[in-house]
Amino acid sequence: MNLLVDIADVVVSADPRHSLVTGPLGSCLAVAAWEPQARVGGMLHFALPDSSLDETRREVAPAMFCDSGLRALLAQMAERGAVCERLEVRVAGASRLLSDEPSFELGKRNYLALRKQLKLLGIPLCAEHVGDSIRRALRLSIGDGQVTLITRTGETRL
Amino acid sequence: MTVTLDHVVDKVRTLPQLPDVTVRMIQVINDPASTLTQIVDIIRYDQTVTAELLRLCNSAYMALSDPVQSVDDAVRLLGTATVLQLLMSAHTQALLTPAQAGYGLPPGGLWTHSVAAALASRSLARRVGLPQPGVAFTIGLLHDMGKVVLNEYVAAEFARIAEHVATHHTAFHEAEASVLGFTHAEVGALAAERWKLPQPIIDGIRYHYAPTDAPSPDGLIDVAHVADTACTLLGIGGGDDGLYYRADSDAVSRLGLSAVDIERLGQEVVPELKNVQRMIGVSAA
Repeated sequence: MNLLVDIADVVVSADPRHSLVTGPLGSCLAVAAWEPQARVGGMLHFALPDSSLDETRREVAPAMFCDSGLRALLAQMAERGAVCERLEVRVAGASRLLSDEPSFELGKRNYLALRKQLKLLGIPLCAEHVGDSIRRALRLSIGDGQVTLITRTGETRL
Repeated sequence: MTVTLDHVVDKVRTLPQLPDVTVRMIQVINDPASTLTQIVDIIRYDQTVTAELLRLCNSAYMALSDPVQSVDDAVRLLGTATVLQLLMSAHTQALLTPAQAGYGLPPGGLWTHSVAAALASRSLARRVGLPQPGVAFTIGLLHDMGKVVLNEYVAAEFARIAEHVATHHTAFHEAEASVLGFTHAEVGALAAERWKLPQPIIDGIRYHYAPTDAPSPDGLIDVAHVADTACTLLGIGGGDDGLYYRADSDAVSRLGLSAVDIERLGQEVVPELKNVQRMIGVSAA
């Protein structure tokens, strides 16, 4: 069964029948995390780089932002028995428009924020598919931890 | 394949019509001389719309302690602007909800993007002090309806359009114009003309990708452009045209917006969109 990870959502599951799947990502980033021993997976679909933009929103919708969203993802996975040091993390998104108008370079800011947060948390990145202007989505299968990139032209393992 | 004007006009005739009451709402909202009472009366004297409004307000999502029993109750609870926008969002579902396979949009994708752009347009209009946030909302809601008309032509020619984008580094709508002869923005404006929608709405639809091409600078068009581009950027209801579009720096500058403003717009629109989806009873696309 597919569980939708909508924009500004985090979803965690240990049910091998589940797949966590995003809609189109645009400049947002999907963070798929898999803990192979606990066999717990989670996905974050964040829209904005930094929760300092709005502390109230951070409280009610932490998955809107990179920093608070990652903390929510890790906390929910830890509750299901996942150990941070064993996480395998793959990310996709951070698309860009054709133009270089700086106020719309949100994908780049999201990506830089994610790299910074992962470094702070000491979590290595196994794979990424970011940038460009294509439509993409991401799926994490809880049965085997496989992460699949979905584009117009088909599906590939990430 | 070049699309002729006759093709477009024929196709527009087959579109699901906006309900008459919706067109009347749009016309009254667009008239600066109209009063809130006039707008509410349009709802009050239409039994179908009243029933629909009461159903939405009494949905499980609203979880109200006292049931909403009249149009006045609904307006008191939600405010006139929200009532109208909720009804217009619901009334465009028949037109915008079907899948648009040519653009890679699943069922609900175009409607979701349109409602998000409408909410973003209203928010931006208020932020920059435009006097008609209701008109901005309407433009946002209808800005991409030309995709419904061009869908089958884009489906037939997607490979050529995509190749044109890749080879010439053009935006997707510019490639539509080169391959098909029309952009979906132009076609949407033609449909709006046939439906006799007010001129600011026709212009907003026509120029939402190129606000600087409008005959004169227009805050409503700038707002429609920035709102649509921000929702496209966030991937909300995104299709196979992806992010192959441009943000117009002049429009951004005319509105006095910064990167933080675009981020604030995103963090405002996402939860509002989810609220509308829950009230109307649709899931995310």
